[in-house]
Amino acid sequence: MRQRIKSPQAHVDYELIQQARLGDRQAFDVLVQKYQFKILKLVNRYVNDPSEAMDVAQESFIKAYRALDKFRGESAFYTWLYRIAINTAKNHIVSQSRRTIEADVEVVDMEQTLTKGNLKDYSAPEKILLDVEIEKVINDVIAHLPKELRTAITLRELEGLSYEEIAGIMACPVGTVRSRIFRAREAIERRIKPLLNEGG
Amino acid sequence: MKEDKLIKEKLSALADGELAHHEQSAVLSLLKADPDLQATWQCYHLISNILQRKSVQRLNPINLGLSARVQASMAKEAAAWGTGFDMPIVMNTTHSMLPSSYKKCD
Repeated sequence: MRQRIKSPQAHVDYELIQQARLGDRQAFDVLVQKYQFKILKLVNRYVNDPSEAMDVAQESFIKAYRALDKFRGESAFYTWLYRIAINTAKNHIVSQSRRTIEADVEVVDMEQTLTKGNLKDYSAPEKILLDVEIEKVINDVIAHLPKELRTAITLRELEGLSYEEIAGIMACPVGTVRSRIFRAREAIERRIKPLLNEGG
Repeated sequence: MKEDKLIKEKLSALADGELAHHEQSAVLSLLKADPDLQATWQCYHLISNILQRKSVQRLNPINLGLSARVQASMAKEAAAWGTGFDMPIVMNTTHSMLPSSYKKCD
């Protein structure tokens, strides 16, 4: 793999990609867990149906996994993954438009699926509410954090500053910045974890 | 500081791309092996995405189990290919799926 690693983030991705290419599926899963939010959001722009968006996002990751050997490190992993997801979404749209011709036949299939209770309900109202709720909880926790923690997490997440830049602004060591950001995330995680029930 | 808190602090720094290079491999190894750390890893990225307004959306991949679905699909493929182990399926081969009698038309 030809690599042009520019950022520390890219370095972490690169290490995981190398491990995944050697057959370590857990390494690839860590990448999925990192980028799933962006990819699902991206796909959802093209594919409105939540169930289909999930399928397309899943397919995008699988395609990326299969093609890992083609990733040459000339761009960031996310850029590469982004292109795969866009193409997968576009192909999905094309295939869906072809499938509408056979819609009458599919109605029968759908009825059978419903009868069997196999329909995936990703648009359930409680899931939609949950995401809004998570956002509210995060903002609420941040608003009640001690000032040092609130400033550190805000400068990192909203301003995108490096730890070194934050240390300069807050006049403290980089290690203190790292600790403050972690403690802020820890407080947020404690509140939102009960809302996150994977696969639930 | 307790060991698990120290590991999570390092995980937080890793998520920001701020963990010292020599510490990365050890934390990644722990992350791959520990579902609790993976939940925290996802949580940190969820927080970032929501705060950076990248993921204020109807669909939450954690609750929908996207990662688990991808894992299951990869495992299924590996089994279907008869590898039975964690080998990635590489597309960039020279038509290895085709019969040996196959000749490419130019």
